[in-house]
Amino acid sequence: MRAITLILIALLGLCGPGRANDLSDIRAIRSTAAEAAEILDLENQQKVTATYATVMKNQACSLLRNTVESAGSQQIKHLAQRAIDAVKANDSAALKRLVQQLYQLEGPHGRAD
Amino acid sequence: MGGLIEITLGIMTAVGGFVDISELVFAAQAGSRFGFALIWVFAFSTIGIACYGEMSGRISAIAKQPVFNLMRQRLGLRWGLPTLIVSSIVNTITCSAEIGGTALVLQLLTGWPYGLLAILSTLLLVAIIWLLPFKWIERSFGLLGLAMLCFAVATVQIHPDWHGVAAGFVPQIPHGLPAKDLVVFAYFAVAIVSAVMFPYETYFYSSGGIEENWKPKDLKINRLTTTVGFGLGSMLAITILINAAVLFRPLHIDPQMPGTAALEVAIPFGTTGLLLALAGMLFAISGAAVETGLSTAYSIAQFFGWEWGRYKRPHEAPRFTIAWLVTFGVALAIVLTGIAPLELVEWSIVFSVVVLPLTYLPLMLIGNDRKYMGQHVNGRLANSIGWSFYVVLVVAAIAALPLYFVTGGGQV
Repeated sequence: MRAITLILIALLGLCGPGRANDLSDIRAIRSTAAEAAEILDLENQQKVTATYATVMKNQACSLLRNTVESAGSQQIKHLAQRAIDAVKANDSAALKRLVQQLYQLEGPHGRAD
Repeated sequence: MGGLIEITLGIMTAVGGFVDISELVFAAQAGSRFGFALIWVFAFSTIGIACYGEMSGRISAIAKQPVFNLMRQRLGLRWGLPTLIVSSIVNTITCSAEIGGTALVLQLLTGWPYGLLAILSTLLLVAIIWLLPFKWIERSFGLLGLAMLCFAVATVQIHPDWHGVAAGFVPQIPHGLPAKDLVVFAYFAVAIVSAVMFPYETYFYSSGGIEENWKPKDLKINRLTTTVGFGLGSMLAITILINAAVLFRPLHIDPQMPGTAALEVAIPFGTTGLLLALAGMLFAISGAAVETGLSTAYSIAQFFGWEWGRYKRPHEAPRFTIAWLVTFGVALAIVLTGIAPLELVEWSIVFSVVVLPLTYLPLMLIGNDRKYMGQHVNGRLANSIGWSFYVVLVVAAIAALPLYFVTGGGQV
């Protein structure tokens, strides 16, 4: 029974709210903005269907809205709102500028190549 | 000739049925975040699932015992029951992630509301399981899932750095990563091991062996399906990682939406590529939903010794039938709460690692037991690989929860 209790405690712990912080929020906004920018570009080149582009843009806005609601800092809320506005305006250039800005904000990446 | 067709179909089904939403998500994220550096984890884990898959198929053919029957015999109630409870929770969460993924893909194709599509796809999957015999269910989803091969064609089309890809197969930890990214790298490694070696795959595969009444003559098909089929299926997952490394990484995309993976084929091939990718994803993910739903029912029925199997009519195995219907009902309810499929994938991945050691221990014990297996006990190779992986799984199970919390599910 002790094993069951321990496992259930672990599972309940996992079901709790995730560890959101500024860096993870910035990463999430950066990636969502980059995804939306790419979708807008591909939509302009007619490489994706209109339905796909619309649904993906709606999903991106929904993710960004969640960040606006859950973020602790005003700066994060503002950045997420800028991304939402750019997606709604179909402004891929603005999204790309925002992506670069967020990428710089994340600090040293040391990404593996 | 009939045998050759059977082998080919078995392998093709294994290839088409290998990738599910968790592999899709983690392969794309791993490639965009760490380039080719995590390819070796996919390759490494595939050896593990091939070894345990072969063992479970062999036990089904020789000892005629499914995994959870063995678990109760070997682990007893003290460990067997917690394993059943956690496995059922994991399978149900995974099933809900797959149903959510199916609804998302359908939404990308039709533009219809997500909730409605989740309900419709669940009803359709339930109807398919109710009406079709096991072999048809397994084969149709597996073969239609072969549309995922378009990801491999895209890999060839985008001309990745093949030397870099080959180097990715060599076990490595990238140089020069800050400490926090090293921890995220470790989280992704554990998550990929879990995604490739999901317990439901073994439950479903071994139960399928009994559904299809495998005999010793089927051991060859079993060996080829688990080695060649799983190997090629894993290569498909690796091409998703490669495409993400080449196409998404330079754009600073770490996919936050499952539908982004389809861009890997849309970028080189346009709308046709997009539709093919979505079709492949639809059949691969919905096939996994069927497998996870049935696996939960298999586990519970086998553990408690109920009548089970899709070779029986639903009313001939009523408790088994109720078990899979309830699983789909609970999974759909979870989806309708509005939890994002991506979040469900993360939970199922972390929970799965925790039960992996308990899933594979009985297989190792029975596989070595001459009383059950006779001349077909594990050979040296199966034992070496099996026990080595067992150590890896125990380490991964211990590390999974701390890594999940420290990295915030890989988002830090």
